[in-house]
Amino acid sequence: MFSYLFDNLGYVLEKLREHVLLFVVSWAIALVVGLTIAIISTRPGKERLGRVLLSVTGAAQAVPSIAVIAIVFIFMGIGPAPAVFALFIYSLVPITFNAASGLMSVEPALKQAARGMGMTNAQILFRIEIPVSIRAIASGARSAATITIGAATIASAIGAGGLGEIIFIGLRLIKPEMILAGAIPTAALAIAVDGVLAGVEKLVASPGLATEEL
Amino acid sequence: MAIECIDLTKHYGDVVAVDKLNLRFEEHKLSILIGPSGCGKTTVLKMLNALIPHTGGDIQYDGVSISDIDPIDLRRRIGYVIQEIGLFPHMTVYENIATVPRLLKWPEDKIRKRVDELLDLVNLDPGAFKTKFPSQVSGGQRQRIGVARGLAADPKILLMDEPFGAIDPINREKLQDSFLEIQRHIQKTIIFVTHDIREAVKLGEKIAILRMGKLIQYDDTIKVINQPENEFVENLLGSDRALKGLELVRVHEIYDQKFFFLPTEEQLSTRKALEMLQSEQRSFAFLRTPKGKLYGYVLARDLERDRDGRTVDDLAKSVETIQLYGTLMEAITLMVTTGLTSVPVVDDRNSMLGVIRFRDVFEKVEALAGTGDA
Repeated sequence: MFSYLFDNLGYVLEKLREHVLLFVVSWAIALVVGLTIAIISTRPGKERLGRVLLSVTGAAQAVPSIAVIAIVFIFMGIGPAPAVFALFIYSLVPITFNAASGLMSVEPALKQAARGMGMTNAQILFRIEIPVSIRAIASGARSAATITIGAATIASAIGAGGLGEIIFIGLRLIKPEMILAGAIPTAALAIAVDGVLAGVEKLVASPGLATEEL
Repeated sequence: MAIECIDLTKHYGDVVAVDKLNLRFEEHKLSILIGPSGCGKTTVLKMLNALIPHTGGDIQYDGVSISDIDPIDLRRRIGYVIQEIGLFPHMTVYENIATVPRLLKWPEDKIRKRVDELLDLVNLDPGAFKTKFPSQVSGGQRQRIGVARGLAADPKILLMDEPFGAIDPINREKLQDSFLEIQRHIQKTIIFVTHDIREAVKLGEKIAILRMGKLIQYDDTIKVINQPENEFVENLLGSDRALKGLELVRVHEIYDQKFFFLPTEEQLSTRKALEMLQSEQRSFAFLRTPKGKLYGYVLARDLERDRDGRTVDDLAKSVETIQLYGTLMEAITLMVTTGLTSVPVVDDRNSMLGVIRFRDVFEKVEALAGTGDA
C-alpha cells in the first residue's frame, strides 16, 4: 500500500517541499494583503466599504478553487507564478472576510472608551481592535491555510508541481499507491499546519476572551 | 480646573443639537447635565473631551480654548466613564486600570501602586481582582473598575456618561452611595450626565437642565428644587419634588434646641413626674442619664394610669434618634415608622441636642412645594 511512498521518498519529499513553498508564499502574501484590506475597510467613516467587502468576499467563498486556477491559467499561463497568484487570490477571501467581520463586530463602546481615554487611532487598532477580534482573524487565517494546502494540489494541473503532481499521475496511471503517496502527505501537512496555527492562536489570544465565550 | 462653555454650539447640518450654551462647571464640584433624550446632554459631554467637535462658540479650560489643546493630551488628562463601561475584555482588571498611566508612560512600579490604591478606593480587594478579566466579575464590580480606570491618572476632571444607568436599582443606590463617599475624598471636578432626576438630586451639587439643545436652568440643586425655572423643570422634578427636597435638607437646619427633660433623679415617683409634666402642659418627657445621655421617654398618659407606685424608669420607653446631619427624609421616615411626632436629635455620643418635630418638617415640605404662602 505505502510501497510507492517509501520507494520514492526522495521524489515525494521534493514535491512536498514544492507544495509547502506554494502554500507558504501564497498564504503569507494573502495574510498581509487580506489584513490590510480588512483594516482599511473597517476604519471609521468607511462603514459602507466594509459592508460591500463583506458581501463580496462572502460570495467569493463559494467559487470553487479549480475555477480560480483555471481563470488565472487563461490570463497568466502555466508555472509556479500563476499558481501562487491563484492560491493567493483564493486564500485572500477567507482571511479578509473573517478579519473584516471580526474587526467590525468589536463593540463600539470599547472604541469609544479607548478614544475617550486618549488613545490614538493606531493605538486603538493595535491595542484594542486587533487583540479583541484576534480569534476571528486567526480562524480566517487557519481556514485559508487548510484550503490553500488542499487547493495547491490542483495547482499542479498548471505545472506548478507540488504533491498534486503525484496524485494526478497516479490517477492517470490508475495506481492507488501513488495517489495515496500524494494524498496522505497533503492531508498530514494540512493537519500539522492547522495544529501549529491553533497553538499560535492560543498563544496570542487573551484568556479573557476565552472565558467570555463560556 | 474650571470648565467654561461660551456660546457652545453643535450643528449637524441643519439640526441644532446644542444651542449657544453658556455654562461654567465649578472646580471640585459634581455638576449634573440632565434632560430628556435628545436634549444634547451627551453631546455636550463629548464636546468637552473633543470626541465630538463643536461647531460654534468655545470651551475653555482655565481660560485656555479647547482649540489650542491637543485632543489626545486633553483626553489623557480627563477621566472618562461611560454607561457601557467599555472595559477591554482581553485585558486584566490591572491592565484596564493601567491604560491611561501606560499611555502617559508612567514607570510600572508607580502604576502598580496606583492600581492598588484605586481598587482600595472603589472597595475592591486588589489581591483578588487585579488578575481577573472583566468577564469574571459582576456588573457592579465592573462599574467600580470603570470608575477606577477613569481616575487612574489622577485627572482633575472626570466626565461620566450615565455610568450607573445599566445597573439594577438596588445596586445603583449602593454604587451612588459609595461614589458620593469617593467624591468626598477626591474632590474632582465631575460632569455627570443622567436622565434620572433622583440620581441628579442625590449626587449633584449643581444641576444643569437641558431641553432641545438649550440650557433651561443651571443652579445649585436645592435652588432647582425650590425655584424651578418653569413648568418644564417642575415636570422633570415630578409631583413629589418636595419630597426629593427632603433628601437635601439636614436635620440641623430646622431642629428645635428647646425640649423638656424630667430631672435626672433616681427613683423619681410617677406622681411627682406627672405633676411636673402637667405644670408644663406636656404629654411626654425625655429621660436622660446623669451624664446627659438620652435613654428614652415617658408618656403623661402612662404616668396617669399607674396605680402601683412604680418609678418613671419602669414606664420608660426606648426611643429612636437621629443625628444632626441626617436628612429630613430620614427624620420623616422615623416619625412614620415609630408613630412619634417628635424625634430627638443627638450627637454621635448620644447626648441630646434637641428635637425635630413633624410640624416643622411639614412646614419645610410646604415651603419646598411652594404651597405654604399660596
